[in-house]
Amino acid sequence: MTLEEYRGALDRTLPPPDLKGRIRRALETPPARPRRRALRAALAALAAAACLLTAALAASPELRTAVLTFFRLEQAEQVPLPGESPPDGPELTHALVAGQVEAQYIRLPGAGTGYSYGNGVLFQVEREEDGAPKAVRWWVAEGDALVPLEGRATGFSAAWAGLEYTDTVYWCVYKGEVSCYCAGSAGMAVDYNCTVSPLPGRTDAAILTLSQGSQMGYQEYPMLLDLETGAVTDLLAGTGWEGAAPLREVQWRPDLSAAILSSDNAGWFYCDRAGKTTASLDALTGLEVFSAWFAPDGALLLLTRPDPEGSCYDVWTWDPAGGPPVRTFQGLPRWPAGEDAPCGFQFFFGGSRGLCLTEDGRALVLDLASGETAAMTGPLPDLSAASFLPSPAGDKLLYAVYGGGADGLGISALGVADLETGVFTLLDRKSSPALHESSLGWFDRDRVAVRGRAADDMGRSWLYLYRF
Amino acid sequence: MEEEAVRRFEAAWDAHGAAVYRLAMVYLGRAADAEDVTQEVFCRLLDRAPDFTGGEHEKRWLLRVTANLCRDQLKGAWRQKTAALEADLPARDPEDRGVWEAVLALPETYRAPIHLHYYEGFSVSEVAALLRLTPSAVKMRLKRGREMLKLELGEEAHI
Repeated sequence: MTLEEYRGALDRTLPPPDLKGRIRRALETPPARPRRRALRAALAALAAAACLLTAALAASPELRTAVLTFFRLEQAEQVPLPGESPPDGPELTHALVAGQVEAQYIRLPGAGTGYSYGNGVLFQVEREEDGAPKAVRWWVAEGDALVPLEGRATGFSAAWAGLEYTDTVYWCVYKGEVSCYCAGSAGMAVDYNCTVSPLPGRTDAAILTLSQGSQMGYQEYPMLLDLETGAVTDLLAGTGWEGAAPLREVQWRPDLSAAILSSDNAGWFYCDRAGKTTASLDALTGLEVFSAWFAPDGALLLLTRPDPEGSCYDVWTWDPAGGPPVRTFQGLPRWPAGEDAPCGFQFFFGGSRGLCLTEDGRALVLDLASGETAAMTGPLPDLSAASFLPSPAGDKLLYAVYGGGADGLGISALGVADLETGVFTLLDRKSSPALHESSLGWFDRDRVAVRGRAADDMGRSWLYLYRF
Repeated sequence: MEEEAVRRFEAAWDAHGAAVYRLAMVYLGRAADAEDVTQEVFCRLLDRAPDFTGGEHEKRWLLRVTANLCRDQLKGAWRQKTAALEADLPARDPEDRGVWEAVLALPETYRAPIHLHYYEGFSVSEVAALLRLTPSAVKMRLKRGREMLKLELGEEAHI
């Protein structure tokens, strides 16, 4: 065979003409797409949107109701557009919107490529020609200034399940918290990977998660990474974690004294590192646990489905050292995904609160640990059309309405419900169709971040930060 | 799907869709499997692709994901049980069928290096980076694969 024959045969091997359309249709149908563990929690949270709750709340033995007061700011924000000429480096403009909301508008160079944020720090990944990270630059947005931070880089190597993971974590410290970036040892590969996650309140170490496989074959394993030396410590050694293997997800109590292990094969497990034991949560609690996570106080919040059809949830709190689980909410009916009139119960992983929109239009914040509720009062906005996102600490709830006529997210209203102070503040936004907003999230514990760019020019981009 | 995602998919498909599909065919030899892998590759492009430094970076990423997914398929028990039952070669032209029969007769480990080097034009070091092999392993596989295919390189230099 000649090279020309080989190339000719391959040239004539083309995808079928309809394949592009089939893929595009598949991309537009999210449930049909394969997905990995990283999306599971978020999807589960959405899928758990519930209910016809009035009766369920009435059934709660101790219904104490607090008040969450709603304020809609009179002045709308005029969202600035990306300027004509991109800056050489990130530039910050400070503003006070409606006399109350602090806004920091950060213009990003180029298309904002390589820029991201984490734990309240803006960073830029500089890359080699082949895409490998070369260096990371860090800034904090303080008032009207972007202040550079000193960054560090630590190489590490870890072995798990026959693979060697060698990589570099880039990190910095700001206000006693670590921000970090790791490209993943797989680089462009998808069959194994590693990620580094900060530990709240610790600047000496981070969680290194090693993973292999994808979809049903996905499994992961946690290590503790010393940020100074790159040394790794096996966090589950000697705990009997093998009974829960393969691990799909590991959640940690902040002091790392215990973990919740998720295994698709065998359900949920509680791993006591100090006691060197791992046991099924079903066996420990006598419940059939559907989902589990840590509340901020270190206790476990458990979700069960009391009826065979899984149409509603019970919520329990359980202290491993303090006896049997205690039910805090009963029969929160699950509202099937895909309904047009959203009302019902949403619970939030990583926090201890849930949100409930009742059929009669009331909005209730449920404290899943204590069983208390807080009702929002005032001329509420249309909550059924909004999206909600809890803050990292679970003490604030971000409210956003999309589709303001602009391309992209088109966020027409942005608000934060502070669940500690009981104040819900809403800001209307006037943005131009010339602005394309691509993402919304929490920048840190109390600032909200929106990324945007010029609709007709990807080279002009912004990061908008809001503190309510 | 957001408009930006649509644009990204359209641009990536037009630039690299055929290359992804061809590599999947070289690995798997069956159109249905290659189509499945191609679809999965583009799903991942929108889900979790890194920031690309350019079109070549994007192409290398796509081909690397393709190679990994194909290897996953080849390792799968279902595939191993059913591979022998099908014989739908991806070519109707008799000469092309001959090429494909020869390619698919190669051990899997030789197919991708041969294809990426002699068809896609990647250098030995680029093929090594794509397939996570050492350059010497790539050279060895190119040499043996070439011998098995009885591939005549004409005026092009041997590795």
